[in-house]
Amino acid sequence: MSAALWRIALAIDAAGTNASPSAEVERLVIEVTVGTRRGLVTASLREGRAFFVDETGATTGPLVQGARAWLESLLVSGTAGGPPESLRELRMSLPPRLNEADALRDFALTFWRSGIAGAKRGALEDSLRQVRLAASKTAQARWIARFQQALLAEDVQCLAHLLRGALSPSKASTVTLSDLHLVEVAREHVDAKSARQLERRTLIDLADGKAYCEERMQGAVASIGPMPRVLEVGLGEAQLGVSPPSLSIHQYTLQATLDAATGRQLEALAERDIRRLMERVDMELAAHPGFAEPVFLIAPSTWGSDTRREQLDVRDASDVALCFSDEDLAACLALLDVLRDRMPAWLVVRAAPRRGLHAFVPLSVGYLEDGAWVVRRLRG
Amino acid sequence: MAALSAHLSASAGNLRGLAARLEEGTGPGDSAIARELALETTSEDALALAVMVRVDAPRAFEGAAWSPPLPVPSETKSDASFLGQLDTTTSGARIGIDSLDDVPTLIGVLRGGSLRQRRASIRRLGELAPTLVERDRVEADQALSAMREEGLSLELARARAALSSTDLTELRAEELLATEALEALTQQVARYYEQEGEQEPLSLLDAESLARIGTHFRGASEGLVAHVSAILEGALIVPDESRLALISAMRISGDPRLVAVLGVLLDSPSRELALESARALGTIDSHGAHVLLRDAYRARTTPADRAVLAGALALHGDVSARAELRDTMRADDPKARLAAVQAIGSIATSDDFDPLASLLGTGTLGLDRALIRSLGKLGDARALRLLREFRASERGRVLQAEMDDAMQSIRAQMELRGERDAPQVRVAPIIVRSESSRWGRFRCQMHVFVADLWRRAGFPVRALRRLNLAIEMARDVAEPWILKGMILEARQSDAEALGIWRRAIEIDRDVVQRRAIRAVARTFLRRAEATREEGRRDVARGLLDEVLALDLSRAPIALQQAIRRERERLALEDA
Repeated sequence: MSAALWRIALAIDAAGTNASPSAEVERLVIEVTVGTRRGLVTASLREGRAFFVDETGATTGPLVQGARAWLESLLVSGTAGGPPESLRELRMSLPPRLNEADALRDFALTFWRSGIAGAKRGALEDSLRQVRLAASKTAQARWIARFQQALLAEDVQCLAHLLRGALSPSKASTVTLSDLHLVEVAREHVDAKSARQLERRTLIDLADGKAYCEERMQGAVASIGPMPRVLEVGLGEAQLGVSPPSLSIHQYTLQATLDAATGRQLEALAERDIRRLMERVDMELAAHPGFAEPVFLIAPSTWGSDTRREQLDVRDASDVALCFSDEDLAACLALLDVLRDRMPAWLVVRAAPRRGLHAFVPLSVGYLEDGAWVVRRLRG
Repeated sequence: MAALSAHLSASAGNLRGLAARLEEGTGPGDSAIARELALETTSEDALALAVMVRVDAPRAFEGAAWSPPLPVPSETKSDASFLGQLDTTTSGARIGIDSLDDVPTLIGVLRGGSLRQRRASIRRLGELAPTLVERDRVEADQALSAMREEGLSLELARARAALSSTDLTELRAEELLATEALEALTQQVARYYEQEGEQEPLSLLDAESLARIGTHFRGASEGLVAHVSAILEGALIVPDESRLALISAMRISGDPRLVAVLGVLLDSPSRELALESARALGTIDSHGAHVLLRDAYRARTTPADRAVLAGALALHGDVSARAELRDTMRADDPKARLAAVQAIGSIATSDDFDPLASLLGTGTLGLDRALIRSLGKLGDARALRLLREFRASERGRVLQAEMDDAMQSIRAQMELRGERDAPQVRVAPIIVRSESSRWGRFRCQMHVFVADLWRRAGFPVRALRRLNLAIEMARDVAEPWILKGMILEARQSDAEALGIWRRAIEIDRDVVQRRAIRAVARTFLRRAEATREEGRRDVARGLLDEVLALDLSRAPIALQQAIRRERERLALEDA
C-alpha cells in the first residue's frame, strides 16, 4: 500500500474513531502520486456529491483524476450501492491496520532503505505512525522511543540491535504466577509514545532474585503503593518475550516498609561479579533482541567517587569497573551525592548499552541507616 | 547471485559496512539483484537487512570502565568580588562560609548572597551561637527573624532555636509540634497501606499543617518521603490540586530526596505541576536538580515557562538564561514579563538596573513586588535611591516590607564588596537600551574628551558630571567608567571607586588592565586596609583576592608587593 493511501486511511480512521456521533466529515485531503507528479487533492462531500480540487485550484488534471478514480474504486468495493452519507462509512472498506509485528517489520525495512540520513529528513514518518497505531503494548511503545533515541545519537549498534528485534521478535506468551514474594526496589519513568510516559517498577523475587517489571502508562491504574514496598502476590500474570518479564498483579497484599530481614535477603541476592553481570546482559539481549532492558541488583565491593573530577568509580572484588551510561546524568549525580557520606549495600541498574559497550543507568541504591534499610531513588 | 553477493559482502560482515548502510540507506531495491533471484524488490531488501543485522548486531558487548563526565555546575563566578567568589565550603586557600566567624559578614551574606550562600550562612550562625557575645547574638537573631525565604525554613528554625534567648520556648514548641506531626503522619500513612478504606492522610491536612510538614520535611522518615513521592508521581489517585499543594509545601522543604520525583513532574502534561516542580527544584541544593532543570529549560518553548525555569536555574547560580530573560522582560505578555522579572534577580548585573527601574510602578502590584525583590538582589547603589523615591508613592507604601528587605540586601551586598552608597551619583534616567547607538557612542566620546580636559584643568566635579552624561549615552563603553574611576581614586573616594572599577572591568578587562591598573590596584589596596582596620577581615581578604586575579604586571612593582604583603599578612593572622 502506498504512503498516500495510508494517509487517507489514517484520516478516515481518525474521523471514525474520534469524531462525536453528531460530527460529519465534510472534507478529505488525499495525497496522490501520478508518474513523477505528486500533490494534494481535496475531496468535499456536499449533499451526496463529491467535489475535487487540487492545490493549484484546478478541478481537472491527472492528480484530480487519480484521486477521483481511487475514491470511486473504494466506494464501489465498500458499501453497497450509492454514494455514502458520510465519510465514516468508508472505514468499512479500508484494509485493517497492520498488526504489531508487521508494522515493526515494515518500519525496519523502510529504515533500511532510508538510512539515518533519510530518517532525519522525515522519511520514516508514515511508517513510524503505523507502528505507533499498531503498538497496543508498552513493549512496542518503548521500542519506538528507544529507536528514536538511538537515531538521535546515531548509535549504529543500538539501531541494528533494535532492527533485529523488529525482524525477529521473541514469541510473546503469558504465564500465570502465584504466591510470589516480591520487593519493589526501583521505579522510573521512561519515554514511550511521549516523554516519560511509561512508569516502570522493578520487582525482585525474593525466592530467586529474578527481576520483573510492572508497567503503567501515564494515567493508567496499577498496583498501589510507594517505592520501596514488599508485595505478597496471590495471583499475577507475567508476559514473557521481553526482559524483564512484564507483570500484571491481580491479587496482592502490601507492606510499605522494608524490614531488616528483607533488606539482608536482597543484599544476599545481589550480583557481585561485574563480568558475570555483563554476561547476563548479553544473554538477555540475545534472548530478546530489541525488547530487553534488563534490570539487576548488584553489590559492588568498592564504591568510589572522584569528587574532584566528579566521576563515579564503582568496582567489584576483581577490580572490574561498572560502566555508567550517560542516559541520565541526574541519576549519576544523585549516586555521587549518596556516595559522599554513605557506603551503600546494593545498587539497582538497568542495562543500556551505548555504541556497543556495556553501560548501566543507576536506578536506586540501598543502604542501612540507623539500623533501618533505606532505598534511595536515583532516577525519576 | 553475483550481484547479491557483492551487495552483501560490500556492506555486511563488518561494523563499518553496517554503519555505512544504516547511515546512508540502501535506497529502493536493486532491480538487477531482484531479477537474478526472481524476487520482488521488497524481498531482496528484507533479505539483505536480515543478513546484515544477524551478522553485525552486537550480541556480546565488550565491557569497559567508563563513567560519563558529570557536569557539576558551579556558582556564578562572573562576579569577582568577595561575595561573588565566596563558596559555601572552605577548600585549600579559599575561604568558605563554613569557616567565617565574623557575624556582620555572615549577616551580610545572609541578606545579599545566593540561596546556597544564605543556607550556609544560616547554618554557620547556628553553629557559632554558643560562642557569640550577646550583642552579636541579638543582631544575628534579628537578621534571621527578618528572613522570609522558601527552602530555608528548617535551617532558619534551627538556627533561631540555637540563637534566640527571647522566644526560645515558642520556637522549640513549634519544632516539637512539627516533629509530632511528622511522626503521626508516618503512622497514618502506614495504616493507609495496611487497611482498606483509610483515606489518604496528607489530603486531610489543612494548609497550615501542610506548610508545617513542608518546613520540617527534611526530618521526615524515608517511608513518608516514599509516600509523598508516590502521590506526586501519580501512583495514588489524588486530584491534581492536592498534588499541586503538596509540591508547594515541598518547595519550602528544599529536600534533596525529592529531586528524582520532581524531575519526573517536569515532563508532566499539566503545566502547573511542571512549573511548580521547577520552582521546588530551584530551592533544592543538589547538582542533579540543576541538571534536570537545565534539560527541562532546553525542552520548553513558551517564553513564560522558560522564564520560570530560568528563575529556578538562576537559584542554582546558572546564568545561561540571562540574555533571554532580558528579552522576555520587554515582552508584551504580562505573565512572561512577571516570570522574567522574578527570575533575573539572582543573576542580574548592573546592566539590568535600567530595564528593571523602567518597569517599576508601571504594572500590577505583583510585578512591583517582583521588581523590588530583583532590585534588592541586584545590589546596585542606584537602586537604593530609586527605592527611596518609590517608597513615597502610594504603591511604595503598600510594599513597605519588600522595600525594607530589598534595601537591606543592597546595603549588605555593597558592604561586602567594600562599596559605599555615593550620594553624588545621579540616578540614571529610566531609558532602556539594548546597545548603544553609533550616535550615542560618538556623544559619549565627546563627553569623555571634555571631561578629561576638566580633569586636567583641576575641576574634578565638572569632569564627573560630564562622565555621568557620557555613561548615560553609552553604558557599554569602558572609557567614561575608567576616567571616573581614576578621578575617584585620585580623590581617595575608594568605596565609591570600587563599583566603578568593577563595572569597567566587566565591560573591557583588557583596557582596564592596560590603562588604569595602577589606579585600580591602589583603590583595592587602600580599601582593603581600611576594611581590615574596621575589623572586616573577610571583606579585606576578598578585595585583595579580587585585585590579585587581575594582570598586575603593568602596576609598579612596589604596589604589587604591597598587595601581596597585605594578603599574606591577613593569611598569617588568620592562621
